[in-house]
Amino acid sequence: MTMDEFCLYGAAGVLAVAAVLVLARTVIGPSVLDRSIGLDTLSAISLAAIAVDAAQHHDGGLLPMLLLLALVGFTGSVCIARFYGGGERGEVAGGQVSGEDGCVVPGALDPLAGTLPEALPESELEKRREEGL
Amino acid sequence: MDAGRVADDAGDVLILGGALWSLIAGIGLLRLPDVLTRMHAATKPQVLGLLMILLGVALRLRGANDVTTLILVGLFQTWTVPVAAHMVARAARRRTD
Repeated sequence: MTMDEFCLYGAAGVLAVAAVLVLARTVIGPSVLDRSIGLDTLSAISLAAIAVDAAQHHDGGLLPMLLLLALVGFTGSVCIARFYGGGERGEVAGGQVSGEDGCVVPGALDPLAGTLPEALPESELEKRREEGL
Repeated sequence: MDAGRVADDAGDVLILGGALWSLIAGIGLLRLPDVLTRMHAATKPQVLGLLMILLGVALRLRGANDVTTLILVGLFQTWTVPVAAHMVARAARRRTD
């Protein structure tokens, strides 16, 4: 077995084992953020696997795919984190507003739990309108 | 032993090393206890491991077109990964406050 074969097949095998481990974390969670981290890492591992394939065949034909994945791969976890971590001020009624940038800390409200928050009573709404919220 | 052979072998070693970083990240993702520490493990193949593999592939392919593409891939990866990590970490911190 030459050095080429040992290193490249070894790298492919190691990447496969790593992908299985990361996939396990993606499946068991437990939170949405864990899954999104797992998917991010999985996309990095697929980038690496495509690069190893290009090295093995001495063929740069797949390299533009690497470029695309590296460019747009981050949008998914940004969207997930954006929706999971709370929106702007006033977007989520009853959310607690955190310090510096006016974003909402969801607290008990979970946008991914599948239930809508209860409507505020009319008196509370009136009070908030007067306060200009 | 000519220069091309040396570059090939160096590329092989770099590719195997980068793949080992991915394995370390897989183990870390499974064993570490919470979101922020898992992010710490997940960063290794996203930046260091991938850059090592890209350098190894560039050493093996050595064409001007391929090397330019690989440099661009490395640049885009190092630009976009911190954005995603920032958003995920911010959401995680607000969730655990």
